[in-house]
Amino acid sequence: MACGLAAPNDLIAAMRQPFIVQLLAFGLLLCSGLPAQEEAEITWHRDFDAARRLATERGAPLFVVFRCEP
Amino acid sequence: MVRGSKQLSEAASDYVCVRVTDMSRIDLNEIEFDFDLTFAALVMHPDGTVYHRYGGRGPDEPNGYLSLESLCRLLRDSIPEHRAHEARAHRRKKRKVLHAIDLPVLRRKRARGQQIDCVHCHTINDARHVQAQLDGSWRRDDVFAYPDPERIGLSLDHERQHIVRKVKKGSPAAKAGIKAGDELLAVGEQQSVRTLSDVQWALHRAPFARNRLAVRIRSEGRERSLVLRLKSGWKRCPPERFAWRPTKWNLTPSPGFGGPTLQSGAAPAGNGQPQAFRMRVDYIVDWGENAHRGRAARAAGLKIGDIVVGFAGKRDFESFDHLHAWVGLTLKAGQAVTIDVLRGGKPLTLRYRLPK
Repeated sequence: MACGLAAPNDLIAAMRQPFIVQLLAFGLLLCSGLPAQEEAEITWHRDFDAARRLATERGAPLFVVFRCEP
Repeated sequence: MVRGSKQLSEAASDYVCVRVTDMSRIDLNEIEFDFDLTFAALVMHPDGTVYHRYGGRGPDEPNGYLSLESLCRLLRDSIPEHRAHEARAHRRKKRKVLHAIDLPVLRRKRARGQQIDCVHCHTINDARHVQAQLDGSWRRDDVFAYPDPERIGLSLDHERQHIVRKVKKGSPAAKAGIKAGDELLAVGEQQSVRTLSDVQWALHRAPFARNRLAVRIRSEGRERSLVLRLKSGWKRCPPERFAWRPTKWNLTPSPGFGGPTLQSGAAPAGNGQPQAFRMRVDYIVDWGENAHRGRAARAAGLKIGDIVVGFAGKRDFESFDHLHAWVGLTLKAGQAVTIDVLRGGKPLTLRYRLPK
Protein backbone atom coordinates (compact mmCIF):
# COMPACT_ATOMS: atom_id res chain seq x y z
CA MET A 1 0.00 0.00 0.00
CA ALA A 2 1.27 3.40 -0.88
CA CYS A 3 0.21 5.07 2.34
CA GLY A 4 0.42 2.03 4.60
CA LEU A 5 -2.57 3.15 6.63
CA ALA A 6 -5.56 1.73 4.87
CA ALA A 7 -4.87 -1.68 3.45
CA PRO A 8 -7.95 -3.69 2.36
CA ASN A 9 -7.84 -5.53 5.69
CA ASP A 10 -8.49 -2.24 7.40
CA LEU A 11 -11.82 -1.79 5.64
CA ILE A 12 -13.83 -3.73 8.16
CA ALA A 13 -11.94 -2.25 11.06
CA ALA A 14 -12.55 1.22 9.69
CA MET A 15 -16.28 0.53 9.52
CA ARG A 16 -16.24 0.26 13.32
CA GLN A 17 -14.87 3.71 13.88
CA PRO A 18 -16.73 6.99 14.28
CA PHE A 19 -17.76 8.57 10.99
CA ILE A 20 -14.91 11.07 10.88
CA VAL A 21 -12.37 8.27 11.29
CA GLN A 22 -14.12 6.24 8.61
CA LEU A 23 -14.04 9.23 6.31
CA LEU A 24 -10.32 9.65 6.87
CA ALA A 25 -9.61 5.94 6.46
CA PHE A 26 -11.60 5.61 3.26
CA GLY A 27 -10.09 8.85 1.97
CA LEU A 28 -6.63 7.49 2.54
CA LEU A 29 -7.65 4.27 0.88
CA LEU A 30 -8.82 6.08 -2.21
CA CYS A 31 -5.68 8.20 -2.34
CA SER A 32 -3.33 5.31 -1.76
CA GLY A 33 -3.23 4.06 -5.32
CA LEU A 34 -4.87 0.70 -4.89
CA PRO A 35 -3.96 -1.46 -7.89
CA ALA A 36 -6.90 -1.63 -10.30
CA GLN A 37 -7.15 -5.41 -10.04
CA GLU A 38 -7.77 -5.12 -6.31
CA GLU A 39 -10.89 -3.11 -6.88
CA ALA A 40 -14.13 -4.94 -7.31
CA GLU A 41 -17.74 -4.23 -6.73
CA ILE A 42 -20.32 -6.05 -4.71
CA THR A 43 -23.99 -5.27 -5.13
CA TRP A 44 -25.20 -4.37 -1.66
CA HIS A 45 -28.94 -4.52 -1.24
CA ARG A 46 -30.49 -2.15 1.26
CA ASP A 47 -33.91 -3.78 1.50
CA PHE A 48 -33.60 -6.91 3.61
CA ASP A 49 -36.99 -8.32 2.59
CA ALA A 50 -36.30 -7.80 -1.12
CA ALA A 51 -32.87 -9.40 -0.74
CA ARG A 52 -34.44 -12.34 1.05
CA ARG A 53 -36.89 -12.88 -1.82
CA LEU A 54 -34.05 -12.68 -4.33
CA ALA A 55 -31.96 -15.17 -2.34
CA THR A 56 -34.92 -17.56 -2.18
CA GLU A 57 -35.38 -17.35 -5.94
CA ARG A 58 -31.70 -18.00 -6.55
CA GLY A 59 -31.27 -20.62 -3.83
CA ALA A 60 -28.48 -18.40 -2.54
CA PRO A 61 -27.42 -17.68 1.03
CA LEU A 62 -27.57 -14.18 2.48
CA PHE A 63 -24.54 -12.23 3.64
CA VAL A 64 -25.94 -9.53 5.88
CA VAL A 65 -23.76 -6.73 7.20
CA PHE A 66 -25.07 -4.52 10.00
CA ARG A 67 -23.38 -1.17 10.18
CA CYS A 68 -24.96 2.11 11.05
CA GLU A 69 -24.20 5.10 8.87
CA PRO A 70 -24.72 8.74 9.64
CA MET B 1 -22.42 -0.18 -4.47
CA VAL B 2 -19.41 -0.38 -2.22
CA ARG B 3 -15.84 -0.59 -3.34
CA GLY B 4 -14.17 -3.64 -1.93
CA SER B 5 -11.41 -6.05 -2.60
CA LYS B 6 -11.38 -8.63 -5.34
CA GLN B 7 -10.97 -11.24 -2.60
CA LEU B 8 -14.20 -10.23 -0.87
CA SER B 9 -16.03 -9.86 -4.15
CA GLU B 10 -15.09 -13.40 -5.14
CA ALA B 11 -15.89 -14.88 -1.74
CA ALA B 12 -19.31 -13.18 -1.72
CA SER B 13 -20.16 -14.00 -5.33
CA ASP B 14 -22.52 -16.85 -4.38
CA TYR B 15 -24.35 -14.68 -1.87
CA VAL B 16 -27.05 -12.08 -1.99
CA CYS B 17 -25.39 -9.28 -0.01
CA VAL B 18 -27.33 -6.92 2.22
CA ARG B 19 -26.15 -3.91 4.13
CA VAL B 20 -28.44 -2.90 6.96
CA THR B 21 -27.89 0.62 8.24
CA ASP B 22 -31.12 1.03 10.18
CA MET B 23 -32.48 -1.68 12.45
CA SER B 24 -36.06 -0.32 12.42
CA ARG B 25 -37.54 -3.04 10.21
CA ILE B 26 -35.39 -5.90 11.46
CA ASP B 27 -37.41 -8.70 13.05
CA LEU B 28 -35.89 -9.20 16.49
CA ASN B 29 -37.57 -12.58 16.81
CA GLU B 30 -35.40 -13.71 13.92
CA ILE B 31 -32.20 -11.66 13.97
CA GLU B 32 -30.14 -11.68 17.14
CA PHE B 33 -26.52 -10.76 17.56
CA ASP B 34 -24.45 -8.77 20.02
CA PHE B 35 -26.09 -5.36 19.69
CA ASP B 36 -23.19 -3.72 21.54
CA LEU B 37 -21.11 -4.18 18.38
CA THR B 38 -20.86 -1.39 15.83
CA PHE B 39 -20.15 -3.85 13.02
CA ALA B 40 -21.61 -7.32 12.70
CA ALA B 41 -22.33 -9.76 9.90
CA LEU B 42 -24.55 -12.80 9.53
CA VAL B 43 -24.32 -15.63 7.05
CA MET B 44 -27.81 -17.06 6.79
CA HIS B 45 -30.47 -18.83 4.78
CA PRO B 46 -33.37 -16.70 3.56
CA ASP B 47 -35.65 -18.87 5.73
CA GLY B 48 -34.11 -17.20 8.77
CA THR B 49 -31.65 -19.93 9.72
CA VAL B 50 -28.42 -18.24 10.78
CA TYR B 51 -25.40 -20.34 9.88
CA HIS B 52 -22.75 -18.08 11.39
CA ARG B 53 -22.19 -14.76 13.10
CA TYR B 54 -19.12 -12.57 12.57
CA GLY B 55 -17.84 -9.33 14.04
CA GLY B 56 -17.21 -10.20 17.67
CA ARG B 57 -14.44 -8.56 19.62
CA GLY B 58 -12.33 -9.27 22.66
CA PRO B 59 -12.52 -7.03 25.74
CA ASP B 60 -9.31 -5.21 24.86
CA GLU B 61 -9.04 -5.86 21.13
CA PRO B 62 -11.65 -3.86 19.19
CA ASN B 63 -10.53 -5.16 15.81
CA GLY B 64 -8.44 -8.19 16.70
CA TYR B 65 -10.94 -10.65 15.27
CA LEU B 66 -11.77 -8.68 12.13
CA SER B 67 -9.91 -9.30 8.92
CA LEU B 68 -10.72 -9.67 5.29
CA GLU B 69 -9.09 -13.11 5.29
CA SER B 70 -11.21 -14.50 8.12
CA LEU B 71 -14.39 -13.00 6.66
CA CYS B 72 -13.70 -14.37 3.18
CA ARG B 73 -12.86 -17.77 4.62
CA LEU B 74 -16.15 -17.76 6.49
CA LEU B 75 -18.08 -16.93 3.30
CA ARG B 76 -16.34 -19.66 1.32
CA ASP B 77 -16.60 -22.31 4.04
CA SER B 78 -20.29 -21.65 4.66
CA ILE B 79 -21.39 -22.51 1.12
CA PRO B 80 -21.39 -26.31 1.72
CA GLU B 81 -23.50 -25.75 4.84
CA HIS B 82 -25.96 -23.76 2.79
CA ARG B 83 -26.11 -26.45 0.11
CA ALA B 84 -26.75 -29.09 2.78
CA HIS B 85 -29.50 -26.96 4.34
CA GLU B 86 -31.08 -26.39 0.92
CA ALA B 87 -31.03 -30.12 0.24
CA ARG B 88 -33.00 -30.84 3.40
CA ALA B 89 -36.74 -30.36 3.18
CA HIS B 90 -37.50 -27.35 5.28
CA ARG B 91 -40.17 -24.79 5.77
CA ARG B 92 -39.74 -21.33 7.08
CA LYS B 93 -40.75 -21.38 10.72
CA LYS B 94 -43.86 -19.37 11.48
CA ARG B 95 -43.20 -16.87 14.19
CA LYS B 96 -44.50 -13.64 15.56
CA VAL B 97 -42.70 -10.71 14.00
CA LEU B 98 -41.28 -7.99 16.23
CA HIS B 99 -39.71 -5.15 14.29
CA ALA B 100 -37.18 -3.18 16.32
CA ILE B 101 -39.18 0.01 15.76
CA ASP B 102 -42.11 -1.69 17.52
CA LEU B 103 -40.27 -2.35 20.78
CA PRO B 104 -42.64 -0.99 23.45
CA VAL B 105 -40.30 1.83 24.53
CA LEU B 106 -39.84 3.05 20.95
CA ARG B 107 -43.54 2.66 20.18
CA ARG B 108 -44.40 4.88 23.15
CA LYS B 109 -41.86 7.47 22.05
CA ARG B 110 -43.42 7.57 18.59
CA ALA B 111 -46.90 7.77 20.10
CA ARG B 112 -45.73 10.87 21.99
CA GLY B 113 -44.75 12.40 18.67
CA GLN B 114 -41.03 11.85 19.01
CA GLN B 115 -39.42 11.21 15.65
CA ILE B 116 -37.07 8.24 15.48
CA ASP B 117 -34.95 8.63 12.37
CA CYS B 118 -32.84 5.53 12.78
CA VAL B 119 -32.76 2.60 15.17
CA HIS B 120 -29.13 1.76 15.92
CA CYS B 121 -28.03 -1.62 17.22
CA HIS B 122 -27.35 -0.21 20.70
CA THR B 123 -30.80 1.43 20.68
CA ILE B 124 -32.28 -2.06 20.87
CA ASN B 125 -30.31 -2.83 24.02
CA ASP B 126 -31.27 0.56 25.48
CA ALA B 127 -34.98 0.03 24.76
CA ARG B 128 -34.97 -3.48 26.18
CA HIS B 129 -33.15 -2.24 29.27
CA VAL B 130 -35.68 0.53 29.93
CA GLN B 131 -38.58 -1.87 29.39
CA ALA B 132 -37.10 -4.46 31.75
CA GLN B 133 -36.71 -1.77 34.40
CA LEU B 134 -40.31 -0.68 33.91
CA ASP B 135 -41.49 -4.29 34.11
CA GLY B 136 -39.41 -4.87 37.22
CA SER B 137 -37.74 -7.78 35.44
CA TRP B 138 -34.29 -6.21 35.08
CA ARG B 139 -31.40 -7.95 36.81
CA ARG B 140 -27.84 -6.66 36.87
CA ASP B 141 -26.60 -10.03 35.66
CA ASP B 142 -28.55 -9.58 32.42
CA VAL B 143 -25.86 -7.19 31.20
CA PHE B 144 -23.36 -10.02 30.87
CA ALA B 145 -24.48 -10.89 27.36
CA TYR B 146 -22.41 -12.60 24.67
CA PRO B 147 -19.66 -13.69 27.08
CA ASP B 148 -16.12 -13.76 25.86
CA PRO B 149 -14.75 -17.33 25.64
CA GLU B 150 -12.32 -16.33 28.39
CA ARG B 151 -15.26 -16.89 30.78
CA ILE B 152 -14.84 -20.63 30.18
CA GLY B 153 -11.05 -20.40 29.94
CA LEU B 154 -10.57 -20.22 26.17
CA SER B 155 -8.62 -17.85 23.99
CA LEU B 156 -9.27 -18.32 20.26
CA ASP B 157 -7.08 -17.81 17.22
CA HIS B 158 -7.68 -14.43 15.58
CA GLU B 159 -7.81 -15.73 12.02
CA ARG B 160 -9.07 -19.31 12.31
CA GLN B 161 -11.40 -18.46 15.11
CA HIS B 162 -12.63 -21.98 15.88
CA ILE B 163 -9.09 -23.00 16.83
CA VAL B 164 -8.11 -22.79 20.48
CA ARG B 165 -5.05 -20.60 20.99
CA LYS B 166 -4.71 -20.91 24.77
CA VAL B 167 -6.51 -22.61 27.63
CA LYS B 168 -6.45 -21.12 31.11
CA LYS B 169 -5.20 -23.55 33.72
CA GLY B 170 -7.92 -24.76 36.07
CA SER B 171 -10.73 -23.34 33.90
CA PRO B 172 -13.84 -25.32 32.88
CA ALA B 173 -12.32 -25.77 29.41
CA ALA B 174 -9.05 -27.11 30.86
CA LYS B 175 -10.87 -29.44 33.25
CA ALA B 176 -12.90 -30.82 30.34
CA GLY B 177 -9.68 -31.64 28.51
CA ILE B 178 -9.52 -28.93 25.83
CA LYS B 179 -5.97 -28.08 24.75
CA ALA B 180 -4.30 -25.39 22.66
CA GLY B 181 -4.58 -26.33 18.98
CA ASP B 182 -7.90 -28.15 19.37
CA GLU B 183 -10.67 -27.21 16.95
CA LEU B 184 -14.10 -26.29 18.30
CA LEU B 185 -16.69 -27.99 16.09
CA ALA B 186 -19.85 -27.36 18.13
CA VAL B 187 -20.59 -25.46 21.32
CA GLY B 188 -23.99 -25.72 23.00
CA GLU B 189 -26.73 -24.67 20.59
CA GLN B 190 -24.24 -23.65 17.89
CA GLN B 191 -23.83 -26.87 15.98
CA SER B 192 -21.21 -25.51 13.59
CA VAL B 193 -18.54 -23.20 14.97
CA ARG B 194 -16.39 -21.06 12.69
CA THR B 195 -16.06 -17.71 14.43
CA LEU B 196 -15.58 -16.00 17.78
CA SER B 197 -19.15 -14.71 17.44
CA ASP B 198 -20.44 -18.27 17.00
CA VAL B 199 -18.85 -19.20 20.33
CA GLN B 200 -20.16 -16.03 21.99
CA TRP B 201 -23.64 -16.78 20.67
CA ALA B 202 -23.49 -20.30 22.12
CA LEU B 203 -22.32 -18.94 25.48
CA HIS B 204 -25.00 -16.26 25.38
CA ARG B 205 -27.67 -18.92 24.89
CA ALA B 206 -26.33 -21.12 27.70
CA PRO B 207 -27.90 -20.62 31.15
CA PHE B 208 -26.34 -18.21 33.62
CA ALA B 209 -26.89 -20.74 36.38
CA ARG B 210 -24.74 -23.77 37.05
CA ASN B 211 -24.95 -25.99 33.99
CA ARG B 212 -23.22 -28.44 31.74
CA LEU B 213 -22.23 -27.16 28.33
CA ALA B 214 -21.81 -29.72 25.56
CA VAL B 215 -18.80 -29.13 23.31
CA ARG B 216 -17.53 -31.13 20.36
CA ILE B 217 -13.89 -30.75 19.40
CA ARG B 218 -11.35 -32.17 17.00
CA SER B 219 -8.18 -32.89 18.88
CA GLU B 220 -5.14 -34.44 17.19
CA GLY B 221 -7.34 -35.53 14.30
CA ARG B 222 -9.94 -37.23 16.45
CA GLU B 223 -13.44 -35.92 17.21
CA ARG B 224 -14.46 -35.89 20.85
CA SER B 225 -17.57 -34.86 22.76
CA LEU B 226 -16.94 -33.09 26.05
CA VAL B 227 -18.96 -31.48 28.78
CA LEU B 228 -17.89 -28.24 30.45
CA ARG B 229 -19.14 -27.82 34.00
CA LEU B 230 -20.02 -24.18 34.53
CA LYS B 231 -20.62 -22.68 37.95
CA SER B 232 -23.50 -20.38 38.79
CA GLY B 233 -22.71 -16.83 37.64
CA TRP B 234 -20.01 -17.96 35.22
CA LYS B 235 -20.88 -15.20 32.73
CA ARG B 236 -20.00 -12.38 35.15
CA CYS B 237 -16.84 -10.56 34.11
CA PRO B 238 -14.81 -7.92 35.92
CA PRO B 239 -15.71 -4.28 35.15
CA GLU B 240 -12.53 -3.69 33.14
CA ARG B 241 -13.51 -6.54 30.76
CA PHE B 242 -17.04 -5.12 30.46
CA ALA B 243 -15.96 -1.49 30.02
CA TRP B 244 -16.02 -1.46 26.19
CA ARG B 245 -19.75 -2.21 26.04
CA PRO B 246 -22.11 0.71 25.33
CA THR B 247 -24.58 -1.14 27.60
CA LYS B 248 -22.67 0.29 30.55
CA TRP B 249 -24.35 3.67 29.92
CA ASN B 250 -27.62 2.08 31.06
CA LEU B 251 -26.27 0.92 34.40
CA THR B 252 -27.42 2.38 37.68
CA PRO B 253 -25.79 3.96 39.55
CA SER B 254 -23.68 6.09 37.26
CA PRO B 255 -21.05 8.71 38.11
CA GLY B 256 -22.98 11.54 36.41
CA PHE B 257 -20.01 13.01 34.58
CA GLY B 258 -17.58 12.05 31.88
CA GLY B 259 -14.64 12.99 29.71
CA PRO B 260 -11.42 11.72 28.21
CA THR B 261 -8.96 9.46 29.96
CA LEU B 262 -5.68 11.36 30.26
CA GLN B 263 -3.67 8.57 31.83
CA SER B 264 -4.46 4.93 32.52
CA GLY B 265 -4.02 3.69 36.06
CA ALA B 266 -3.53 0.11 34.94
CA ALA B 267 -0.32 -1.58 35.99
CA PRO B 268 1.95 -1.84 32.94
CA ALA B 269 3.26 -5.21 31.81
CA GLY B 270 6.64 -6.24 33.19
CA ASN B 271 8.20 -4.35 36.05
CA GLY B 272 7.04 -0.87 35.11
CA GLN B 273 5.62 1.34 37.83
CA PRO B 274 1.88 1.88 37.62
CA GLN B 275 0.86 5.38 36.66
CA ALA B 276 -1.82 7.41 38.37
CA PHE B 277 -5.24 7.34 36.71
CA ARG B 278 -6.38 10.71 35.40
CA MET B 279 -9.45 11.78 33.48
CA ARG B 280 -10.70 15.25 32.69
CA VAL B 281 -14.29 16.19 33.42
CA ASP B 282 -15.56 17.48 30.08
CA TYR B 283 -19.26 17.19 30.84
CA ILE B 284 -21.56 16.85 33.80
CA VAL B 285 -24.83 15.11 32.95
CA ASP B 286 -27.35 17.71 34.04
CA TRP B 287 -29.75 17.28 31.12
CA GLY B 288 -32.31 14.69 30.05
CA GLU B 289 -33.69 11.76 31.98
CA ASN B 290 -30.53 11.35 34.05
CA ALA B 291 -29.98 15.01 34.92
CA HIS B 292 -30.26 14.21 38.65
CA ARG B 293 -27.01 12.25 38.44
CA GLY B 294 -24.96 15.12 37.17
CA ARG B 295 -26.68 17.59 39.47
CA ALA B 296 -25.66 15.47 42.46
CA ALA B 297 -22.03 15.50 41.33
CA ARG B 298 -22.19 19.24 40.65
CA ALA B 299 -23.77 19.85 44.06
CA ALA B 300 -20.83 17.99 45.58
CA GLY B 301 -18.58 20.61 44.01
CA LEU B 302 -17.44 18.91 40.79
CA LYS B 303 -16.58 21.33 37.99
CA ILE B 304 -15.86 21.04 34.30
CA GLY B 305 -12.10 20.80 33.86
CA ASP B 306 -11.47 18.97 37.13
CA ILE B 307 -9.01 16.12 36.83
CA VAL B 308 -10.46 13.03 38.49
CA VAL B 309 -7.79 10.76 39.98
CA GLY B 310 -9.97 8.47 42.09
CA PHE B 311 -13.54 7.46 42.75
CA ALA B 312 -14.89 5.87 45.93
CA GLY B 313 -11.33 5.28 47.07
CA LYS B 314 -10.28 3.41 43.94
CA ARG B 315 -7.47 4.86 41.87
CA ASP B 316 -6.34 2.17 39.44
CA PHE B 317 -8.91 2.61 36.70
CA GLU B 318 -7.70 1.67 33.25
CA SER B 319 -9.91 4.30 31.65
CA PHE B 320 -13.00 6.39 32.23
CA ASP B 321 -14.99 3.55 30.61
CA HIS B 322 -13.60 1.29 33.32
CA LEU B 323 -14.57 3.77 36.04
CA HIS B 324 -18.09 4.01 34.63
CA ALA B 325 -18.49 0.23 34.38
CA TRP B 326 -17.05 -0.25 37.87
CA VAL B 327 -19.50 2.21 39.40
CA GLY B 328 -22.44 0.57 37.61
CA LEU B 329 -21.44 -3.01 38.39
CA THR B 330 -20.13 -2.75 41.93
CA LEU B 331 -21.67 0.25 43.73
CA LYS B 332 -25.23 0.86 44.84
CA ALA B 333 -27.53 3.83 44.48
CA GLY B 334 -27.60 5.85 47.69
CA GLN B 335 -24.06 4.83 48.59
CA ALA B 336 -21.83 7.62 49.95
CA VAL B 337 -18.77 8.05 47.73
CA THR B 338 -15.84 10.37 47.26
CA ILE B 339 -14.42 11.85 44.08
CA ASP B 340 -10.72 12.66 44.30
CA VAL B 341 -9.87 15.49 41.94
CA LEU B 342 -7.05 17.85 41.08
CA ARG B 343 -8.12 21.44 40.50
CA GLY B 344 -5.40 23.86 39.50
CA GLY B 345 -2.95 21.16 40.60
CA LYS B 346 -4.39 21.03 44.14
CA PRO B 347 -6.01 17.82 45.45
CA LEU B 348 -9.62 17.98 46.60
CA THR B 349 -11.97 15.31 47.89
CA LEU B 350 -15.64 15.76 47.04
CA ARG B 351 -18.35 13.77 48.75
CA TYR B 352 -21.83 12.81 47.60
CA ARG B 353 -24.38 10.03 47.51
CA LEU B 354 -24.77 8.23 44.23
CA PRO B 355 -28.29 8.87 42.99
CA LYS B 356 -30.39 6.24 41.20
